[in-house]
Amino acid sequence: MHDEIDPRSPVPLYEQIAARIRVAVAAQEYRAGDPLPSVRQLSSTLRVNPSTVVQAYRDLEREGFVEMRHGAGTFVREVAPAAREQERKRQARDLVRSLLAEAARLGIGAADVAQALTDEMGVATHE
Amino acid sequence: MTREMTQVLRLQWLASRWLLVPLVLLCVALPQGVVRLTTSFGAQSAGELLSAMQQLSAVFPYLAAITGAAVALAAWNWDHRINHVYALTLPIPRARYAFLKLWAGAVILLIPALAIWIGAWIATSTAVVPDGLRTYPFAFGARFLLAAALVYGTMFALAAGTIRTTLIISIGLVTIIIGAALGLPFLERQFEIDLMTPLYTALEAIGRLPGPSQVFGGSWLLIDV
Amino acid sequence: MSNAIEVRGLQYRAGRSFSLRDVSLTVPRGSIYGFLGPNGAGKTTTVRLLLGMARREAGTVSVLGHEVPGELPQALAATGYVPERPHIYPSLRVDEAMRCHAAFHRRWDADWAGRLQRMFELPGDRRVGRLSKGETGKLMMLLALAQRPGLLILDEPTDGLDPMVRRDVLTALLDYVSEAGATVFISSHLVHELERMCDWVGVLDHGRMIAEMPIEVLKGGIKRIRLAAPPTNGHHAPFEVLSRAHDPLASCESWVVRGWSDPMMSYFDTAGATVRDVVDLDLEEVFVELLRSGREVKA
Repeated sequence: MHDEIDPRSPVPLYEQIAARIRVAVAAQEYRAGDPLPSVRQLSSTLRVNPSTVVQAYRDLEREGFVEMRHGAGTFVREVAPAAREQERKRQARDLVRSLLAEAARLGIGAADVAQALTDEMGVATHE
Repeated sequence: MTREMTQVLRLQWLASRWLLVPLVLLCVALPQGVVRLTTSFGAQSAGELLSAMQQLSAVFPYLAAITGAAVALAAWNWDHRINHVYALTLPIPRARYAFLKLWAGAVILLIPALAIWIGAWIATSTAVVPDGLRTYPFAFGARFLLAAALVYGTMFALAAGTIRTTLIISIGLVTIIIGAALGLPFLERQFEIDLMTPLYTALEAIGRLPGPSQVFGGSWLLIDV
Repeated sequence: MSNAIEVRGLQYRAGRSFSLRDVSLTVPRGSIYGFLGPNGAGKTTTVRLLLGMARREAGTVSVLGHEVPGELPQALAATGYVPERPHIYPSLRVDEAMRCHAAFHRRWDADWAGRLQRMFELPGDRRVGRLSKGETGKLMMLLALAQRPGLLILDEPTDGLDPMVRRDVLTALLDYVSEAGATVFISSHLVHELERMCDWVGVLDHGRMIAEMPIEVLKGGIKRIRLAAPPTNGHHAPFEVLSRAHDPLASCESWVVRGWSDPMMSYFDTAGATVRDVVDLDLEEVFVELLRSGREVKA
């Protein structure tokens, strides 16, 4: 998790961190039982307030992705494939939502967006 | 307390050590020089030796004063360069810090004092002293230490201020001394008046004032009756 | 002792034009407090007053529960300080400087100091005066951290340092903060850097505090609205208009407002304007707008 998080984004920092971890869990980069970086490690690597990391981990714990074991650290939980599938779908939806919002801001019509999407996806599947 | 004292002493030593080299050399060599000069002209009468000794020994009070002043200035030199910021942010009351520095400087002052003692002892033990005269290396050394300590204490307090005040005072003192040494004889010749006698009388009077400054007014003779 | 730093009604004057007027600050324990302000606002002077290096004319200053300057040594014993300009004796070697600092600070952690020294790649036998700017900055942070303080007061600790050094310094800082739960008071004009780490922000301008609140409250309350066919003025608006400007990239106006919430769109509808965009501002933009409008922002 050394991607840069963006403090200027409207998305709060703790949410950006939580989102990255959710993606990683859904994509099975983290497997059940794997430890997440400690609060200390992550806050110093990302140069963010430790309370930001704590909040991200707490949110993830509430959603059932991880569990915080007092004194031992934070560990990824066994996430049912159905839940992972749902998470991936949710992330895809979020992506599309922000794409459509951006398009609307730039004044690009839905038809153009749909066309571009099909074209690019065609290109992607052929690669 | 001891840890802090040791550290302050260590810092003072690091700040003063290069200054001590010329000081120690002077302190060891000058007594030699003075004694040799006064006893080198064959068998002199005691009277002649004494008057020569009195003339040449005039250098020692100045050496003591310079030693004291130099150790005091060296004590604060490092702090001045960083505007005292480091010392001010140490978790130690300021008065105590200054007090620790005062004692650390006093310890360092012992080094040139020891040097002058050694110089005096070597000079007097190898000199050919005419009958009727004795050597006073220890009294000489003690007087030197006290005089240097007096100047040290005064200058320490003055040098603790801002770097500007210290510079002004130091330069002022040096200018006065040099100016007097050069200017007074010149003025005397120009205006045919005697300026030196009143000056020496004044200095002597200061030396005789009751209190610490008497140490300057006493005898600086290594060889005396 | 609930607050790491408490300042009330601080007054200070230097010369004819510079003064701090009625400055009040509260730094909660365990927080990372960003002290922002343009150059010349009085940030460094405030820091010096916190550390008892200057004498205040009025007001109270309390650091870690200790009055300054009454109980200054106690306050300083648990405070790590990184000043704007290097404050270590330049003739000391790095090793000697560390030894010196250790002698005066009882909680000095020699092991950690050694690890930081290796991490920062500071040569032990180099004189402090001969270190590069980056190395000096790293050394000052090392000294402040290895004394294991409960409070860190940092005055522009990364100013003038290259990005790699900045990263190293802040990484070490946050490592300590998360391990020890220390409070950090960091004064800087590098707003972006503070944005990542601070949970509280205080803004000083021309010797007065113009804002002090949690960072999300400060950022969240202020938005930029891009408008087409904007109304001539913002009278009777449910929000406060901080500034208006013509957007050079599009044919619309850009309003910076405070106290916005989405239902307020109707205000523009009635005025016949079209809202193109409602944009969050980053901390630097908020900071600039605050200074420009010169207004006090209350949380």
